Amino acid sequence: MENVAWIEEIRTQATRDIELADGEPALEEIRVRYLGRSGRITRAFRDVAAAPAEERPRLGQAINQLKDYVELALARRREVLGQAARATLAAAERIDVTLPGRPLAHGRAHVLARTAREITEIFRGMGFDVEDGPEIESDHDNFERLNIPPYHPARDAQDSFYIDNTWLLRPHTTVVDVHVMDGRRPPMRAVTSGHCYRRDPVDASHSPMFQQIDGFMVDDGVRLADLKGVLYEFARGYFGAETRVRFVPSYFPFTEPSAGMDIGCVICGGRGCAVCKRSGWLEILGCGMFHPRVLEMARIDPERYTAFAFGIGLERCAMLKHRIDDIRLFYEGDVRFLRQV
Amino acid sequence: MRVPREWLEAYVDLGDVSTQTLVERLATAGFPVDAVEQQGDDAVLDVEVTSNRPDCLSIIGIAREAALLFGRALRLPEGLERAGGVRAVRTPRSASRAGAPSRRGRGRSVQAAKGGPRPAGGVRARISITVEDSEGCPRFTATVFDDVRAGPSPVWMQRRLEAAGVRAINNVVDVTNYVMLEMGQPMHAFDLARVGGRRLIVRRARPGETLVTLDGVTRTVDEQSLVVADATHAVALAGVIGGQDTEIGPQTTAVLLEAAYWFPPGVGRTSRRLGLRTEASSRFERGADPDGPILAQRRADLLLADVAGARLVPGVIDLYPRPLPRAAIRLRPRRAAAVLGVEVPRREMVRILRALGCDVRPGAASLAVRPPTNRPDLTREEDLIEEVIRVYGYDRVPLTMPRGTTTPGRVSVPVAGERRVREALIRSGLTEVMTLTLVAAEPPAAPAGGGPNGAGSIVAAAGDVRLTNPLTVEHAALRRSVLPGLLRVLATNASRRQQDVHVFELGRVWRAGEPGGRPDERRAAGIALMGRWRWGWNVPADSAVADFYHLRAVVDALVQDLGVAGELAVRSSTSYLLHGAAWWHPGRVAVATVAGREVGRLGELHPDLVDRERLPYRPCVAELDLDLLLEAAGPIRTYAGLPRYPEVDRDLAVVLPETLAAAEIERLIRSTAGPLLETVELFDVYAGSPVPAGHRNLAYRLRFRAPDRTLTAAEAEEIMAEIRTALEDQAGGRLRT
Repeated sequence: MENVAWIEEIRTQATRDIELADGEPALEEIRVRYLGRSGRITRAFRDVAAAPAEERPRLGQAINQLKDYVELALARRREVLGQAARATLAAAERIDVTLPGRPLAHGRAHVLARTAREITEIFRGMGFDVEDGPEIESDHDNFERLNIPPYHPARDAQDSFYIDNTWLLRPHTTVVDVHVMDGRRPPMRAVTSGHCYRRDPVDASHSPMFQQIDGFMVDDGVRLADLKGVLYEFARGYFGAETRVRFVPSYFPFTEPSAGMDIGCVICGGRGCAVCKRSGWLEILGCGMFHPRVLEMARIDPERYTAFAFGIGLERCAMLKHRIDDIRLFYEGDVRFLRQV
Repeated sequence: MRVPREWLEAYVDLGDVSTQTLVERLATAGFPVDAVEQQGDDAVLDVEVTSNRPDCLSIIGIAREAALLFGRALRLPEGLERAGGVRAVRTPRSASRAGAPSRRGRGRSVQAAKGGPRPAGGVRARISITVEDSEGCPRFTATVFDDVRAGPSPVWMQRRLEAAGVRAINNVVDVTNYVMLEMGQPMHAFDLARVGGRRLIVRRARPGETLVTLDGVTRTVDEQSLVVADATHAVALAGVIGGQDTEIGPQTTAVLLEAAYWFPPGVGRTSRRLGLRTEASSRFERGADPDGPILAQRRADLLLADVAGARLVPGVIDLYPRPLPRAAIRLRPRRAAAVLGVEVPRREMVRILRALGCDVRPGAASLAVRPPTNRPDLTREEDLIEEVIRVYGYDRVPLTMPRGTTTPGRVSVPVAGERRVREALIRSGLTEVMTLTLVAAEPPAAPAGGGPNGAGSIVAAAGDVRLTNPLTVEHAALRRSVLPGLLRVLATNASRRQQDVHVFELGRVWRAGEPGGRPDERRAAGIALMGRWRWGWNVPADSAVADFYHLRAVVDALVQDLGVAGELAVRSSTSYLLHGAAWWHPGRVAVATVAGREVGRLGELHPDLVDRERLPYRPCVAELDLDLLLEAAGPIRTYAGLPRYPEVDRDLAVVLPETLAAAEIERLIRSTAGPLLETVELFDVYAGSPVPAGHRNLAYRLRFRAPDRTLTAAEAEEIMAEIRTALEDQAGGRLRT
């Protein structure tokens, strides 16, 4: 096919223009100049109409080829330019990724709230309902219902704050067990956590306000062995699967037999250290089989049903697990402490 | 209880047992040893004794345990052997037991001097004893000694006493202390010459009666407390401490020795009332051995003769009109196995109980057990089961899981509600704190009207729940609000250069109820925001500091998170007081209501408080009534569908008087627009030129949508025109274009 000189001229010109284009605006300008409504190639199509009839097909085909050629060249050039631009993107828009992040306010539950939740969930998994009770109790419910008559020496260990002759700040959460027993019939299992108060002057290991987790189970055929099994699962669940436990006799007026549960010292692994007073063991809870009097007062027949109960020191558990050496830290609200544990 | 090994080994042979083994074995039987103190070549064990074991507040008590645990024989000293263990209280020396006072009937007053045969020159010729309250003093024994040479006691006795933590005083007092430490029965020695009228009366104290006790303190005794008195006045506080008047001194030649059994709660009451805890009171209030007095008298007789050359005046006065009943308990081995989950062999049960001093008669299905008199704690079958397993070993009880079906535990409504609130506030970025609920009792507020019920009256202090027996003035009442505790948290952190503090607390607050009634206890949530909030480099500090609107967003998010039924409304509050004191910024405090009920207040702290607490920023705080909020909370949210047709957004700017609350404007826009208006988003608030003074320009983006078709621009424009008209006509707004 014979080349048409003026068409070739356009081709050469367009090729040069495209090669010289240095960016999208220039390419767009070239596209308009050649392919736009009044671009040279668009106009060339109109010129075809003026050509002799026998030349029109050949001329039209040539211009179409030119059009395709220019479109392709534009596209190629655009691609080349795009690659070049991305090649400089890293340099042009680089940020210092090592600058500190813009802090989100990252909320956190209090370590004791998390501990209480974790422990109550362990018991919930063993069928214990999670209950709640008031922090002000009557002397009758708090002491007499738990087999602690007035002037009983056991009241010393639970030296309480009184509001008047009737009402006091509960010195233990065991009293919640009494309320739960009053509202239900056996079998029942429940656990509760909350504030308790005792007249202990503030020091590194005492606070007039502290928290306990208390639980109990009433059913026919509940045995001390079951208490041991349930509390062993708690110790393993909270302190780790390797935790060793031992049960030693203790005394609570509302349980008989009574026991204390020790765990192998989490600090020294049982070799003996200052925290465990060289014994290798740490006492973490008191427990026992509910005294028959306590069941009788709740109108539960102790010959038919037996029951166990336990009380765990919440701060003690959290202090051992998180290596916190001063109970006051829990209630002071220093945000640096709260973020660490 | 301090137990010197050397003394312990006087009663049980432990020569081959190391102190460490002894300590470990005692601990497994319920006697943890707090410390072992080396004293010369002796080791002193500090044994922790639970309050149900008064018998072990004695060396022999611990020796009995040790003998049982190591399978050794217990060697009782002369005078303390119990024939059969039951009523071996009749010592040959006490030939003249008070003329069978138990047959004297129900009379509460027992007078020894009048009853029974009376050998000439016997103890009864020297002293007369009257017990006016035989309930408070079920048993009282007395002996008299002549030719006493008061002076220091022998070195061996002093050494043992001091190792056990009791100061040696003189041979007579030392013997009473020695006997107490050895076998657990407190005794008291009087200088007989100084006992007025040669008589002792056990009676209730007289109104306002005082006594100078051995520690030199003048004490006023209340009328419910028992005293031991001579003819004229009290000479000892029953079961607690002796008086100075009749103290043994160098001039003493005749000694009256008292040993009694006191009603435990009576001693406990007196001791607490006086705030005086003594070796004697701590033993009596736990319940001593009713047969202890007579055994102690026998033992003291031997020792006094030995160390003070004393000569017993023949006879022992023993007033014990109604011997205390001894428990008779049926122990069913099957019951023991059912309670324990382990079968302890019967012969093992029998061995253990007998070694503890019980009479045991094995029967077909049960053991008939009578505990010894020194074990008042053993009254029921369960008590014996504990004794058996305590010695047999808790470690021999297997670990089992409860039998029967286990269903997953349920979380009660209040606990679940609190968990939801905690999680919602944490998601808002707050850190949870817990503060002491005990606060300083606020001084009674000045009476408003100065009426007759004025200052210091109940009215003035109304609302506060105060403690009757606080430890310190800082912890003398229960908090009525969580906010003061949160303010303290802010101040504590600020003083430690922690200036960005965003915290919340969930807890209870109290208010006095009806007089004598249960105080009102409610759950509250407190929120405190101070300092920069979502801050970072290049973020201008003034736009990062938490303000009222950040706080409001936290409250909004909480209410939304709880799915509270009813709309949360926040309106400005006219009151800026908390418990009568300026707390809030008077222009920046609001009341929050849900469905018309007030659920809390929120606002900026009063600038005076900010200054007083030296806070680096003005914090914003809120307190919400959780009980009300959770009452309105919805348990389950339901899916409402996603919009199916496109929205039309239109912007609107209007200049309005500053006094017109934004909430009012939004309400007007919404009510005018009707249901096709989906959201109203305020995106700009501007005051200043060219907006006229006292006015502000508010810019909103309104989003319109129809649920069932594509809304046209024309429809949206029509609604916009109505809104503009309403703003102009009803709110005096000027629209900006």
